[in-house]
Amino acid sequence: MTLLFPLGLLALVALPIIAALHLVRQRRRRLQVPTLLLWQQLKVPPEQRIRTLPWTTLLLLHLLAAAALALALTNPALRPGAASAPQHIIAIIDLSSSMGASDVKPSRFAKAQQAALELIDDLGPNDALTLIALDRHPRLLITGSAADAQQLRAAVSSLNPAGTGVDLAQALQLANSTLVADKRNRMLVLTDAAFSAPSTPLTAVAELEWRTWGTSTPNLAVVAFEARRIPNGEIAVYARITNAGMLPLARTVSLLVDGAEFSSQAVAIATDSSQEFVWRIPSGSTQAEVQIDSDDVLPADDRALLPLTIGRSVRVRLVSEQKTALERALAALPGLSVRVADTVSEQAAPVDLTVLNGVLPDPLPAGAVLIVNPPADQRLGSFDGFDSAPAQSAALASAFANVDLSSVQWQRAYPLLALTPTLQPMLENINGMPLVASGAVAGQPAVVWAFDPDASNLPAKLAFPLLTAASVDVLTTGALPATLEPGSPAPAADLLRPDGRPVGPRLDLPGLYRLPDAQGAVAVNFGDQAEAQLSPQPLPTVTVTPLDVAIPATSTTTWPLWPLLVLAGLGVLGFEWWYITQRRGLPIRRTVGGRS
Amino acid sequence: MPSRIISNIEVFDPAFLARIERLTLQSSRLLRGGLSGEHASRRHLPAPTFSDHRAYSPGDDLRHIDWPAYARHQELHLKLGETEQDIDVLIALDTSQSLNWGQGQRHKAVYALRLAALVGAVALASNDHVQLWPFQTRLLKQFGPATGRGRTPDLLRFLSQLPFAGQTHLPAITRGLRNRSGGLLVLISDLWTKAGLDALLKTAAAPRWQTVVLHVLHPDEIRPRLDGPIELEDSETGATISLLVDEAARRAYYERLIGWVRAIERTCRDRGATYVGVRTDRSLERAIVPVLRRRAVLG
Repeated sequence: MTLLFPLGLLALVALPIIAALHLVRQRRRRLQVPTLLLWQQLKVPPEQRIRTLPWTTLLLLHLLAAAALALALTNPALRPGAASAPQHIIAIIDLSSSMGASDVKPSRFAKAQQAALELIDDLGPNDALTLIALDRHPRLLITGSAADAQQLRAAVSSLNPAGTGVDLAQALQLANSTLVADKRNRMLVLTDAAFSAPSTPLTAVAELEWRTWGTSTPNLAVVAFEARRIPNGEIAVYARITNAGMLPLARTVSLLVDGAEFSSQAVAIATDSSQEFVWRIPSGSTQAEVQIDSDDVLPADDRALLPLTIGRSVRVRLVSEQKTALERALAALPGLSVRVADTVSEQAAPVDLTVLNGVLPDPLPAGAVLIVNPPADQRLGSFDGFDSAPAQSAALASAFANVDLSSVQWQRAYPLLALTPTLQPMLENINGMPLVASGAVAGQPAVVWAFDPDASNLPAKLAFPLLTAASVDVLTTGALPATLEPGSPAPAADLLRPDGRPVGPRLDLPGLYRLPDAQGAVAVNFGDQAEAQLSPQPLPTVTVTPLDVAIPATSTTTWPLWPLLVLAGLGVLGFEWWYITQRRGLPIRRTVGGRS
Repeated sequence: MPSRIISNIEVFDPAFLARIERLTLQSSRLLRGGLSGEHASRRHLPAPTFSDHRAYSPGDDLRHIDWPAYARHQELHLKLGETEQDIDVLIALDTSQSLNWGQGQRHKAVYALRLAALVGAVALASNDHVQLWPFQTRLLKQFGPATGRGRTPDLLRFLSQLPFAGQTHLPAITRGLRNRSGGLLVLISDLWTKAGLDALLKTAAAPRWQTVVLHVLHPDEIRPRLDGPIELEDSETGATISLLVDEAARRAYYERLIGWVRAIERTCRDRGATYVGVRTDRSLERAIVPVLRRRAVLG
């Protein structure tokens, strides 16, 4: 059954009103007794008694009639076959780290995961399921049918609650974009609701259902852990610990340096407040860790790690047969380790970025490539002559927004490229021909400079290092940072997770991710000011405006039920009228035993 | 046979009357009266049935002189014995509005009228002098004195025409008894009145009076079947009271009723009267008659 006008349910408010009227205006039966002699001696003044709702036939009839008419207002309709109509379920799974709390056994996330798995099990042959990850950067995980149950289950099982914050508006926007035209679309949010309602209005264009897990529970968390070197060579380590519970807590906070306990102190943290700690540790330290001796339901945020050594830089190999200004520009960029080679060698050590100046080998070297002044090659597109027109000042993409080549004078004409579909122009000349393009070449990430920078005055311009930096930024993730947020994309493919296994696409476990051969490490700490608050919050208001999605022909017929309900309501009122009339027609019984 | 319909019930059905005619009224005390009654008197009088002698004194009936004793002792003695004596039976019937309550066979007025008819008819059949005093706030038109079973139809006709209205007022009986010499007083009432019983029983005290109090109560008066918010109306005064009747209230009412009945019973006992509690859900023949017999009210 479908309610075509759900707002009609507001009419159900008449039910408590009717009950209240019966309670307030309940009539006392008047009965005659031989004498009040003894009754007057009873000390049971009615004013001191709590009135109970008189469940009279009249009240039941009133409630029945009001309920029937209120339901009629909602315009309910039966859709034969609607229940069996194919449906498309969009499951939005909360991946914020608060879902790891174990106040619901085994954990909130395990419950959500189980619910998602049950959705997969319940899929009909024509049903579909879309999984959306809800964290700070919501993303579509997978869409599949019952035939894809194995992949769907694998996708659900691979998830971990490792996000800080949620962007519900974006998740709903993503869900709204996945509606399927020939199925009944339903959205299902699996969450602990431990987040504040977003300020932006939320809209859903399909039925929306919430399933929540979690209770109000105390929690201590390390929400900040940083370090910096101070002039005397020591390292200052800073930590902030928050008590997000309803009671003040006393615990022991320990600092471990290179695995050994450096400091331990008992602290008492007041309700809903934070306490800061600063330690000075020796300069040669390589790793710091802060721990709270806590037994709360979310142990993942009770510790934080920090590598104190500088991580691995971005490895760049410049392949150029001649001396080029590009080498200087690359060497000037921080965090880059540049090596220069004349030719591409398959035996060379792997690098993160290869810069090909004037050459375009086949196959391309592994990894990202910056192709500069390329020879004619079908992998880039077709050559369409040469031009020396100046560049436009405005870039076509934000990644190159600061790069302005309009003042560059070209000493030699550059080739005009009709780009392959895998490349998108970033900077163009005034004739609309591409100067810089970005995308993929032969399946590898690539940025293409169609010109020879050494045949222009570009190296003398500020735009040159900016263009170089922007190109490198597009192609690499930069140097390995000390810490990354939970759920971030893996910064390097050869990272090892805290449990020693190769890293996946995302950093979804708390702890230290290490590069092989101790080249560096990055810490992922789950402590976060927002995620420390584990108590479920009121569900945000979502405006649900179902779109007119074409339903399969078998279920387009609707049978309106409101006439039946109106008839039922009027029938009840008619029966009530008959009942009262009949009672009035009978001799009134005025005494308990009856009076002749 | 005159009859009366109350609550769809014929008050005096022939079978009921046929039974009560076979009953006799039995007096257990010395009562004053003439010599034609059928009740054996403990007062030693010259009588055909010998039990003792006393010396002759002038004026004694010569028929009772024991001549064989005179022959043997040369002294005049009178033969003394128990004589059969008629008594004045006074039935005081409460016809207040509180009696006009109940349903069917349990209707209190039906029961009270039958009780009055039973006692009156038995007394008439025993050649006693029967008077019936219906009363409310005052004495109504009386029946009798009447003697002989031939007056039974008149008694039933009189009972059939009695109105039930007004309030119970026992002092009305008390005032009427002050000029009476004595007899058997049968009070039929639900006794829903605050005062007057003790004064009545004090006036109708032994040895002149033998008093039987038939306390008529409907079972719903003993265990009210009330529940919830109710406005109760007094059948006699019209006064009302609003109550929320629950189990606690019903229990409190029952305890007070028991106390009320026991107080009446104690008053009767203290004044030498016989108290008989009558529930209208009990068969009159099977329940009340044995009780009256046991208490020597009926023979």
